[in-house]
Amino acid sequence: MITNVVGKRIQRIGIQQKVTGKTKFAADLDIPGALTLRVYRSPVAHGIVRKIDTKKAEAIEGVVRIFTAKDIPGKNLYGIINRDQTVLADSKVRFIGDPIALIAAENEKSAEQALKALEIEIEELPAVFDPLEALKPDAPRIHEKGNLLFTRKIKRGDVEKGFSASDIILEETYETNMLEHAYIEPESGIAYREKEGRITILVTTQNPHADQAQLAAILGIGPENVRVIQTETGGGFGGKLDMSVQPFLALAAYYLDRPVRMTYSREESFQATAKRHPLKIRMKTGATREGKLMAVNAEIIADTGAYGSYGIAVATRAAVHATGPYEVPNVAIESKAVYTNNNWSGAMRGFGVPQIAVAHESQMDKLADSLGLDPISIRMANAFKVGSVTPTGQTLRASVGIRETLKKIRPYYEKFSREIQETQHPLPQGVKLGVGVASMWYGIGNTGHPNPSSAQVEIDETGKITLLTGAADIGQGSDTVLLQIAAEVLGVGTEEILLVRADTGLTTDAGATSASRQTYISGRAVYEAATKAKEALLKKAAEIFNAPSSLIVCDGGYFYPQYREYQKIPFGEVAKRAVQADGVIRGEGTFNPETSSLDPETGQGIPYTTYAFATQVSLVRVDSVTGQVSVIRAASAHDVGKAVNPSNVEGQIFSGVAMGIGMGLFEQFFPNKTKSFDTYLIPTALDVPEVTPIIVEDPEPTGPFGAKGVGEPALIPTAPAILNAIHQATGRWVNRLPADLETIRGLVPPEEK
Amino acid sequence: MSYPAFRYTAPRTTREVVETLRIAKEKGIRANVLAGGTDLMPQLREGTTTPEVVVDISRIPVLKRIERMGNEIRIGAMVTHAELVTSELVREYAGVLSEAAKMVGSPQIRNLGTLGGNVVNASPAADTIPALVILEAKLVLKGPEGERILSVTDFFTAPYQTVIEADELLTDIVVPLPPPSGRAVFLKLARRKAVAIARMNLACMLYYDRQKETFEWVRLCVGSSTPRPVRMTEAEKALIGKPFSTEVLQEAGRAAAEQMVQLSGLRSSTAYKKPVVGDLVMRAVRMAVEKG
Amino acid sequence: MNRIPITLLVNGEPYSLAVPPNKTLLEVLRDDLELMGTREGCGVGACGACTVLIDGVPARSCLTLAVDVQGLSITTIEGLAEGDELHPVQEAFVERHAIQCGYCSSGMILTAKALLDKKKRPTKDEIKRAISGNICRCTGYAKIEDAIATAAKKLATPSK
Repeated sequence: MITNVVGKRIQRIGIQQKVTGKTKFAADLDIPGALTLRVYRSPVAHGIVRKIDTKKAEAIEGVVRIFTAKDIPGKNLYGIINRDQTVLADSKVRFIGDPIALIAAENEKSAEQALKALEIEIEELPAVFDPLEALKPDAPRIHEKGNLLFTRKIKRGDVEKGFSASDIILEETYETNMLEHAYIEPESGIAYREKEGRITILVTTQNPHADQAQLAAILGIGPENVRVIQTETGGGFGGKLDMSVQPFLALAAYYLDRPVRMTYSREESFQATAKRHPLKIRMKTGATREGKLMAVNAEIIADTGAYGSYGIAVATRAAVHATGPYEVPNVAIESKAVYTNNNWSGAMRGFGVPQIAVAHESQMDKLADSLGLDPISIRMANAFKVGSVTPTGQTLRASVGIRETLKKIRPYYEKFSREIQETQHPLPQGVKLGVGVASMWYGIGNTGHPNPSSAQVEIDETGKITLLTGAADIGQGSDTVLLQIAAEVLGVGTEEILLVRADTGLTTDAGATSASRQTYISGRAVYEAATKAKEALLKKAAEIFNAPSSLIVCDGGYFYPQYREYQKIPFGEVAKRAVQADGVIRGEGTFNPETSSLDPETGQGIPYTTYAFATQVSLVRVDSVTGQVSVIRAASAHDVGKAVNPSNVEGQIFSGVAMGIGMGLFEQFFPNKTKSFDTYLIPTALDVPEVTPIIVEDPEPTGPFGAKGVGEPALIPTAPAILNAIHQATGRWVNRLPADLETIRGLVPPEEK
Repeated sequence: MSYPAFRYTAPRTTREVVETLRIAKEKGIRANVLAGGTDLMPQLREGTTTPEVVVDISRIPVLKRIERMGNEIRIGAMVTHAELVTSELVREYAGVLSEAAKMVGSPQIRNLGTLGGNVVNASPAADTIPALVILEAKLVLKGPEGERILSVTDFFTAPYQTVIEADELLTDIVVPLPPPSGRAVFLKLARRKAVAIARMNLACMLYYDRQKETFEWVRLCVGSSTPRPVRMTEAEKALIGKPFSTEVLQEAGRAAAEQMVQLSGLRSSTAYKKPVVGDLVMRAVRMAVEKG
Repeated sequence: MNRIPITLLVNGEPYSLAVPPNKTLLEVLRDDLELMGTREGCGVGACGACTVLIDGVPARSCLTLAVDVQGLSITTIEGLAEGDELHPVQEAFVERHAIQCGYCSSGMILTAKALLDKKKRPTKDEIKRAISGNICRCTGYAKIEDAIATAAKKLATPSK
């Protein structure tokens, strides 16, 4: 298909403001007379709040009010999937950092003094920090219903038969660790009560409509009485899907006749928001001598910490994706999300798939190594194709680009391998080079749940086009991509469309900016909305030209009958006439990709309509003396269906590789110890090598112009590719993240250094 | 997040600084010297340092000079890491200090942070300190009674602990010119490639006589490994007078590792650090010899 | 609390202010001068989001007391463009798609400008080193490095 706007490197919407510093993030908003909010957080990991005495704190000059659980007008219980989290502790605290009291003060200083003056007594309870310990019958009970949040099972075929038919069986355990999202913008927002009584919150978020629904329930009011406006958001990576400052802002604005503002310090952001689930994985894989996978059996334990958040989704996704993008006839997976008294884990770029990919991709390389196959061939021998059936029993009907990504990566695999052989200078003692490959698949959108999006395209009598979408652009670029889709359909430039986004007062629900779903799902909703608006104009143009609307062309800002371009009439003229006749044109678009819920016992069902696929290769340098590993080159091929904006897609790929290097090599969040960026190290420019992004476009028929998603897939193959490269360099497997100095130093025995 | 309140003074001379510190000490007022602020400011934020008076020494020109005086280079306490990296004098006569300064924090931190601040903060992971140790640097402390000069190794007592008195100011770091025959190497080992605290760092300077095929002299210091910075004397002894061979290097590595464990005791990090110290010493010595 | 009079030259404009000694340059820029383009990412000097140029040199405004920069010249992101005309570094960041969320961009752009003021044709490694104190979670740095190299070329060719 020839496109004019889609597929082009259109400049990001709003970049002029960003480059000049004029962009307003929530903390930059001017709101005169706003009170400052601060939260008193639990200093213990598990306990019962016995006493809260606010008298002394309230007496401090400048303190306006102190809120506790009893002030919450509606339900003091929220959570994006299962509601188990208190806004302010009503009796129990479950991690160090659990909110207990909220202070509203005239200024920061008074709020800080009040924090110190609060008299709070907590009876400490025994705590548990290991999910395996937490599952034991005598473990401290964190939530009333017990410490097991959720189990997801997937059963297909007969794994025992599959193993009997295997020539080789590998069983290994893997461990991934707790990670912080590390977006650079800390959580921030402002709130006020409008004259009509509605509570309005301007906040950094990935999920404005879900925020609105949750806040309405907390305040005990209808959602129409809460308006959430997403401010420019400085990165999210899943960490801004759960609410952070929102409930505190809403509660204070509900009671006080003053605007309020709240910005987390970096320390508070680290302490009080979700982390990546650490996973413990036992995986048993059987294959034939030729490398054909016969059976995969896995047990997964995810530490969801104190609260559920996205734990259920993470456990499910890890299970659904546990085989990797390969045909496996016999599968048995059991995945559990378990409460502990650690920081709560939630969504983080990939929802458990980056973790499980470490296991399935290490297994693939171990099989290849044992069978004497090269890593690309063994993947090619098993990779999905159109017609393949997934472990949940879904037949893949289209857009299965995994094989193409493998093909595209092979030359880089060979090039990097040659580079090692041709290295002229002797390397310093103990230094070794290696190449590693890893692939991935990733289902786009919510797993086995409906996840509709909606959008509108309005055209007024002046021809002004407005695109309304609830989708939150958090820096990944959905604003630009959605405008490109609308512009392509309408035959105009993106600059001719006004965008209204992510404001529950003006836009309808587009679902969360998560699960790499906005381009695919909201993009399709926008496509539908624009198409409907265009149809109304085509109808009018058909009247004007006295020709069937199927023969009217809409392109370059003009309408004209096919082959009669000389008769062209400007877009605005047609719009004006159409609006005069029928009123404002409003194209309403919705899209809800086909899914079906997964069977609780077998996991059979349709978790997603479509999947993204990728393969990555890395060349690494391992210093077995110091334990330092550097990635010195990487290439990553991604099947995105259609790159609506190739620059955005490349940006995601570069970003994913960078984040994956951190995940693979040094990022580690230690509850109650890691406080800021001085100890939570994310990759700097020097840690990230030259990366070659490769875009594969195997179009998805249900996607807008064939597009799928890439946000999370970009990250997923990185860490396993690094681990596989470390093996090639050293002959040793790393089964536990991160592959840090100590791990690598301990890996290679002295005589091999 | 706001910083606790304090009074602020920015004297123009070192004498005024010392006088301010003396009065504060006398009255029992907590006073902190502010140099580049890269250590003090995070401490204020964390609340681990709570000064009543902050004495800003950034307005004192004499503290910013780098000059050669006879057989010494005198570096003012307010000289930044960035200046150590670019200074011709430092690069020529104390190159290892320049190399160490290059590894400190980030470009922005190097532009603000000072050598004096790095020394007085006394972090065991400080990058410049092992370099100063092998350069046999001396520190000039100015107090109410006048100046005292002490060797850099006598300055530190424990992590973040030094012998500096509350009414003393570190004014200069004096580096005697090392013998021109010396070849130096600085290595830093951290979890990532920039803006990272050293897991270990090492400064080494030596002269290997190729005619005689012996190490004539060796100076070695490993940072982030011992409670206070010291010369790895056992490793130095294992090399001096010996030829450059794998066995000799291994012996030096072993000696360094043992000395480290002896000084710091067994810790959770020992499993990693003990073998790495040995290997890193070997690597650094090899690199220094290969410099010709 | 006691306040200390200071004068600052910010983006070429002189300001006379009386500031409490515990106020950082970052706070003064944002609260007093309402220059919101300089942003706090961590407050401990570990991320680089708050980078400004002090006498042309990149520094962490969160680690700098306002009283400590008395009399000095400060450049913030607001001071780069001349009216509607972007600085070549800004232009290059736009053209090369070097920005995603934009939260680190002010510090990143100023750091890049300071590099190019000093070095006309920096190598790839010099670019990486120069921005190694500015962390970015969104871009993976590739397009930022590309933009800085592009800006160097722009600056080398006389403007149209």
